[in-house]
Amino acid sequence: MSEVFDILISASFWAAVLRIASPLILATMGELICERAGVLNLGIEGIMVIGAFTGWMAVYLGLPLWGGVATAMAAGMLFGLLHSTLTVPFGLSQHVVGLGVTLLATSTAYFTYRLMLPEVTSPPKIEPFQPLHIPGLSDLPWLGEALSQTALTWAAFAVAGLVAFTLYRTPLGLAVRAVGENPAAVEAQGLSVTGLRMGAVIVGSGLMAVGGAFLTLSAFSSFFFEMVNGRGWICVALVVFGAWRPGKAVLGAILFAAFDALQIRLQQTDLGAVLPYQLFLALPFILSILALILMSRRAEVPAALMVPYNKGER
Amino acid sequence: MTRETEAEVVLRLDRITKRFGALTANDAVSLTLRRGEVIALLGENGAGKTTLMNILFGHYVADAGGVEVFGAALPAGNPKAALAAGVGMVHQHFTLAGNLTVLENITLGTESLWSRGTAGAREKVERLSRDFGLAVHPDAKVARLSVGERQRVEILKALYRDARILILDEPTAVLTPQEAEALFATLRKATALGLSILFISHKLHEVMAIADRCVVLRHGRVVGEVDTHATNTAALAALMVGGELSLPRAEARAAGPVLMTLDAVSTPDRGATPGLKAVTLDLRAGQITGLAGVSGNGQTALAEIVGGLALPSAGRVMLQDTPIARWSPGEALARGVARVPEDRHHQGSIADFDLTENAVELARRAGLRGKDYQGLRRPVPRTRDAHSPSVRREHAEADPRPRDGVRPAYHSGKSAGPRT
Amino acid sequence: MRLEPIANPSAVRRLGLPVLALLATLGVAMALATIAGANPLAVLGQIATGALGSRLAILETLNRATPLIFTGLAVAVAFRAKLWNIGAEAQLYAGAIVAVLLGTGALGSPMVLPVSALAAMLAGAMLLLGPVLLKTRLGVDEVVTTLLLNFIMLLFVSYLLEGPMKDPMGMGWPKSPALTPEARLPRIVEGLRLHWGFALAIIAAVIVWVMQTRTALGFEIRAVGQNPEAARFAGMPVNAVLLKTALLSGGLAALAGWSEVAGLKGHLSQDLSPGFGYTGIIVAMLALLHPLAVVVTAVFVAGIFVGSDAMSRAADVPTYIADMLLATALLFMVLAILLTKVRVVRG
Repeated sequence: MSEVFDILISASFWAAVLRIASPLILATMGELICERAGVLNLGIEGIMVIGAFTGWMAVYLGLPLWGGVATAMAAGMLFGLLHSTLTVPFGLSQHVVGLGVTLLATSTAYFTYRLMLPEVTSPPKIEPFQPLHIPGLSDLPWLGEALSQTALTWAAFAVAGLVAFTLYRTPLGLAVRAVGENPAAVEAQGLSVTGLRMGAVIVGSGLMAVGGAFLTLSAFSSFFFEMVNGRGWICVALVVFGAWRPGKAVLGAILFAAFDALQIRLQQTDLGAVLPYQLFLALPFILSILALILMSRRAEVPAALMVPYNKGER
Repeated sequence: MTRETEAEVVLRLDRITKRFGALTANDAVSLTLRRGEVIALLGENGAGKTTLMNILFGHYVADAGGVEVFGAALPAGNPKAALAAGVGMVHQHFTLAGNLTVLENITLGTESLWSRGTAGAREKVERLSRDFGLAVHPDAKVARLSVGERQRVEILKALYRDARILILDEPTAVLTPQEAEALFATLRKATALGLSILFISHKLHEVMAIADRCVVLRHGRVVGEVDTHATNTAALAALMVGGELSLPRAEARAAGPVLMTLDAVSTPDRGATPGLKAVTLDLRAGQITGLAGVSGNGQTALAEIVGGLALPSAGRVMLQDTPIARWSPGEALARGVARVPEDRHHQGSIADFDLTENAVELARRAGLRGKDYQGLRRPVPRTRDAHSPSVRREHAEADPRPRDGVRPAYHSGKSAGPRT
Repeated sequence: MRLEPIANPSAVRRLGLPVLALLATLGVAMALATIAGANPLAVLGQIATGALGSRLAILETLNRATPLIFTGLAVAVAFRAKLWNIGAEAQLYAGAIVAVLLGTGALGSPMVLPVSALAAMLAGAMLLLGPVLLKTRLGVDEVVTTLLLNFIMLLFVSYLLEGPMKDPMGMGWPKSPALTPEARLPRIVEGLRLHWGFALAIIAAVIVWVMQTRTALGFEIRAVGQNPEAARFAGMPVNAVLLKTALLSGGLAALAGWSEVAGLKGHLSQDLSPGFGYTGIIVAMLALLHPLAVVVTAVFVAGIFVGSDAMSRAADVPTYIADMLLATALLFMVLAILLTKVRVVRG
């Protein structure tokens, strides 16, 4: 057990936790916005793939890194537009449309990848985001190493703060929270249910795509098939775990990332020699299910989640 | 309450017509509301009252006719325009978000979405609460409020937007008599301050108590417009149904044996809704037992126990003197207890099933087998189609009662949404 | 805009819109081919001949359709009850594992096929039982749990193939030992590469169809899916119906993996399923959840995959075009089906 303790107090472990948490935070915030507005977005997994791909491809083709982030965001918003057009004004099943969008976005990314790089066996690398040097902070003994993070990680936490602020401190956030609870209340006050919900899904999808782009632009320097590997579904679970609140969802993402970082390190220990590595890799998914079970009784689901709204129908 | 004939006209509906397929819900309805006046809009269920209000408030677009507010034409189909013109609506089904506070519900949509929000909202709400006698805490979560409190929030929402015309759709349906009295007091304060009120109801004594004038709708048409002081409830009732009503008389009958007994039955409270407290009740053969009371006082809990959906937390339920052990809707049906739910669309029928399937389902559950329902096995319209105007009209025409019950399906509940 | 139900949709509307959806998908296919720099009509032709152009191609398509019929049925049964089983992929592998466990000598010869089929169904059913119990007891959303179980199952298979179930003769490849000949599903016609799994899949479709239209359970499944509240008020044990649905759905999905191992591959490997479980969702949705239509759409979907593989070898159009087309077809189709029932009106 002292091995575990050593891992837990090391700065490099916590640096890894923040790194692993970043894409989860971005995509979880995206999903949270959608669900707060009443739309379950199961397109998340595919939107993360398209974000990872377009962000990386844009940089590979010569755009600056932030240009890659913007490209990923735009691609995500495009698929958000598709999702929300089908689920909001037309009120189609959010399950079916979400899975369809995931398949479409994933295959679009793979198709385009093969089209643009037909010959390569291993994907080309780009120069990814580097850890920021923050004068004063970066020189601190333990904290300096733990907080040695790229701009995109800092951005992920800033986005979480912005989402929380907008949801709870602005009229826009008030309207989003209301439309996920009772769309009739929003319409009676002269606001557009369709506009709010579509807007939330589009913006949320943009954030999911940036979460995907984190993988190619900050965590790794290249695009691989299967690189999102269920992270999107985990984010859907994290939203439930966080009881649809940004702060709790961020904590959930960090907790989750800590287990992920721990399992990678435990594989190197004696424990890793005894237990199959697949068990360690399965840990994030097992934890997500446990988290859902744990929160099931307490969660405050937005009352109108997955309930389409047709004007004048009461 | 004197009628101010000279007062300015604040609202004018001009020959509003709205059709849903073959059904004409509103047929050239005209109406004039003056400053400080209370008009009651009367009519049976389905007479077209709610459709008219939905047009006025911009939820629906009329096929013909127009709305004028303070002399200016109101653009159709735009709730925002109605709000901006000073029309406030208190819906029959409250339009409040339970996860938000009172203050949040009131300010929702009143500020630019891209602003930081305006200061002084709380002060304004508190002032309006005092002025109109609408006591409610601004920071309370709406989900925790009682029905009466929620209605106060609805009225505050309209007043906060400086509404000059208040439309109240069946406001007393969910209120206790005391709450209804408090509502009337608020409405009198409002008219004294120069607001005008359109009050939709079918409770005649309330109309007589609060309204200056009554407009009566039947089959979507205005069939009468009378001053309240020049009429009486019997005359209004006759206008509503289109003929004198003969009052039903109950004949005394000998009660049969006790079939079902609730013995000191209690259920836990559900949020703001109280549960049953040691209710004892005998249901006898050959007898109709009526249950009176304002909704939300335990009727649902009682119906669930009788119908097999719940067991009491204390007390006993007995069928023919034997206490029940297993109790479920299926068990209840098998023992001969049937239930017609309040919400037929959600609880009573399956919209995509045809009538045979809906009927057979229940028949089978009630223990009928084979030949008992063979006769039902022939093509019949789907339940959804049965609600469609044309089919329902046929039903209505075969029905000797007045035809006011005709309502298009898309008025109600979830019958409209075929989803994949 | 607002949606208004149409009381009696015309035949033109009911048939025309789905056809239009398929034509639109065809349009997307041609656009993608053009983007890829190929001749769009030639690409369509190559997909068609690749799927149906020869006896070999047809058999390959039918072979590919076999697991899709099973997973499509699994999804159709579950979705009919509004039970969102997205875990057919994991249940498929559960069936495959059982096929290997019982088919590599553990069981005597005459009984091995029926016993292992039933055991496989049981394994798949058990795998879905957990998420459904979590749904009925605790209200945990089954979409997420079944999705996550797919990933756990794949890792479990990887563990088995590198550990306890590894083929000692496998030259280091992570695959299971081969099934004994008795445990293999025979070919339908000797010499043709089409195994009895295909026939079983069609039989399963007929059984599910009879079950849905002629039995009380089928009626209950539809009622629970349409309106659980009304079903409960009518005295149906809603949770029990959901559990039965889950057992059936999980069992059907498991047969996909079982028949792939016993009929086609003869062993278990990590790439047994290229996402048959997920594709089953598309198969079921395109079939409008009708069990007999599932057979047709499964062959159609399999044809697109097989044809795209062949086309991609000939033209320089990536084979992922198949997934894009299926996703497009799915989204167009659900919209088209909606528009057969409602019209968009102003205000």
